[in-house]
Amino acid sequence: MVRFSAVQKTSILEIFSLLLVVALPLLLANRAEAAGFTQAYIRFDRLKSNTATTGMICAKPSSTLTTYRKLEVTFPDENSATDFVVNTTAANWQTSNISTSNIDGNTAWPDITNATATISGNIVTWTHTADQTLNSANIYCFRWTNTAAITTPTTAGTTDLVGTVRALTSADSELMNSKYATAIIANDQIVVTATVPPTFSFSLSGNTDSLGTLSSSSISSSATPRTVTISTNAAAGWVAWVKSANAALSSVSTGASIPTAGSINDTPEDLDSVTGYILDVDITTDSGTGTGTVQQNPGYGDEYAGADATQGGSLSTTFQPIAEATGTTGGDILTLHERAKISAVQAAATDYTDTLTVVAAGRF
Amino acid sequence: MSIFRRCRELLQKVLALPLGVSLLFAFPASTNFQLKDFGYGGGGVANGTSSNYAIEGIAGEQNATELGGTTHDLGPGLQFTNQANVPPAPTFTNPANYYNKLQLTLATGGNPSDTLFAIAISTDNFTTTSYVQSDNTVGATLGLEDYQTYSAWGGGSGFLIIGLTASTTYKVKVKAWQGKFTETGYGPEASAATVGARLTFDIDVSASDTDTGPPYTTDIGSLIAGTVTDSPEKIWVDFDTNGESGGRVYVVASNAGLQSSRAGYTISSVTGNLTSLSEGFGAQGSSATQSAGGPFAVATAYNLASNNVAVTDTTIREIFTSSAPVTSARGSFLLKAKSSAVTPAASDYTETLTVLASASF
Repeated sequence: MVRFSAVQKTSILEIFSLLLVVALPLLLANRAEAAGFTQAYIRFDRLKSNTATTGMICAKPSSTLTTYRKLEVTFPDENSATDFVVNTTAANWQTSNISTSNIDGNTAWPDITNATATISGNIVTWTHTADQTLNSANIYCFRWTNTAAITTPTTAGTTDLVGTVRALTSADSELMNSKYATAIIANDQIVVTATVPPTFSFSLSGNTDSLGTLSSSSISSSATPRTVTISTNAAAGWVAWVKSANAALSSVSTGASIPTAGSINDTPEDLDSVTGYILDVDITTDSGTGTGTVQQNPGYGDEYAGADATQGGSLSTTFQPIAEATGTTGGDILTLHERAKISAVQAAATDYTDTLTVVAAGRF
Repeated sequence: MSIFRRCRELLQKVLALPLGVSLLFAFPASTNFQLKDFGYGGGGVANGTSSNYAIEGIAGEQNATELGGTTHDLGPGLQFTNQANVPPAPTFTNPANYYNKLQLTLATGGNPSDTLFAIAISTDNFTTTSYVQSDNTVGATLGLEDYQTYSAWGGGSGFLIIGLTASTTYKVKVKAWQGKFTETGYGPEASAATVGARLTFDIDVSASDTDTGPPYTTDIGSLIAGTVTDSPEKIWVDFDTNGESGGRVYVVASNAGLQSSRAGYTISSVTGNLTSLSEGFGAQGSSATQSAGGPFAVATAYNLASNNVAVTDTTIREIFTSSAPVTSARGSFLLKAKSSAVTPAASDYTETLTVLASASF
């Protein structure tokens, strides 16, 4: 029987122990693997094929990063038909073409608007001048805002186009990485159309108006002035016109007439200084509903814009504009005041009369 | 004394051992059997411990020459006899098209319930080896905390190894340990693969759930003042992703309403009840389904009824969401419009909606 001395036993034990101690680090030492983001996504603002687009990049680290210096994004580039075309002009990917607004309420990517972009193939890398912290509690986002930066692949109907988002240190050590996928379709837009049909309404409050007994020393006005009400959805509003049958108050029994005062010259006449027969048109209601404003302008009613109860415009046997509106209205109202003053030698009669025809039209 | 000098001294002592030691390496045999390994004479067991280490030394028996085949190993001596049962290959699968995780269920190999198991994992046939950590992630080192019982590793239901790389085949193998000096070698391997990140998206415009192709248009027709009119077609979306956090479908508009260049007017897109509003245009979610995962749902803002609508404007807004991977999701929304008596007449009211999708991985 072989016996080992105590020294030999100790030697064997020590050799075994030494080998084990030496071997253990070799057995257990292995390459570290970078973790993935908790979330990473890229939202392209257009998914139509062969379309220049802006977009948004978002990521949420799975653990807080304090040595993050570079963000590297690889856009899908599996083959020419499904490659995104990345513009190599750095300016399109940095500073004024980067924004942290409108990022769906997420946290602005720190310092990204100051980062310098470099492009290599389909890889865009944003490099900060100093390490940034990405907190694991936040989803960080930013947008590239220049459509010149990237164009979607030429082939539509493609799915599972995969890219990568990586966070790196200043020495290009990978801190975190995740894949993402997107899809490209033939058309991502829907055209919606509709029609609003034209509408127009017009009404006159009455068809008679009496001036009563005329005087040479005072001005007689309509006792019951009639109103015109107009509603329309004509985008350019409406115009109203008046035409007089006689351009005067005429008496059939005597053959006499009280002619209209003055002439059509966009200036109302004043019966304080002249005699005659005139029409004053007041803008009683400019409807607050709609886009239009009722006006009396040169050629469109200034003639009949009497400033007071003695003024009015000359009547004509042809249609003359009395007012206009500039847009749609839910109900504009005009009031028509006929006025007259006679001379001392006006022939007496009880049948002085005139017929005014009032019309309007929407300007569609 | 340097470690190298100590090694040299120990080696010298080994070489000084009696020549008779070499006789231990001769193997007795008959015609049918061979005694592969044996020891004789004196022997003993000694244990040494410190606060961090323990070592068992056994003298008097062979500690080399292990018998093995394709499906078994038979080691010599007391230490091998004391070892736990080597765990069989675990069940390793990708049950749901995961791109970043895989399902693992250990096999106990008949070990008692207090046996601890450690899991090695590799993407290159164990040229390099990582270890499943106690938090189910993958790490470079194997710590004591990463030895867990079968129950802690999910028992019969198993658990998900997370933080994996997409489109990658992984292999795993398991070893067992039940007390000091009982750790086994690794058992047989099992493999499974993650899939790639995936997103499928499509649009249809139709009165019913039907596939259509571009160009996508819908004509609401003549708007009667004071009446809410629905688009005759709905806008449908297909959405499918294995993104860990699901994804979103968005809508954004070009004109923020129905715009007429001829009239110089826009029926503005609004959020509200068109029944009570004098005029407006907006969208309303109509349906959302999926065959698995998700759920795929109409975003809260658009989850409306009656004549309630939500705005579609130049801000990209979520209209459908899923907070988890979803398969064969299908959603739809419709458009509603109302004109007033003073909405300018025109036949060219138009809006262009862009519908987008993204997934969170």
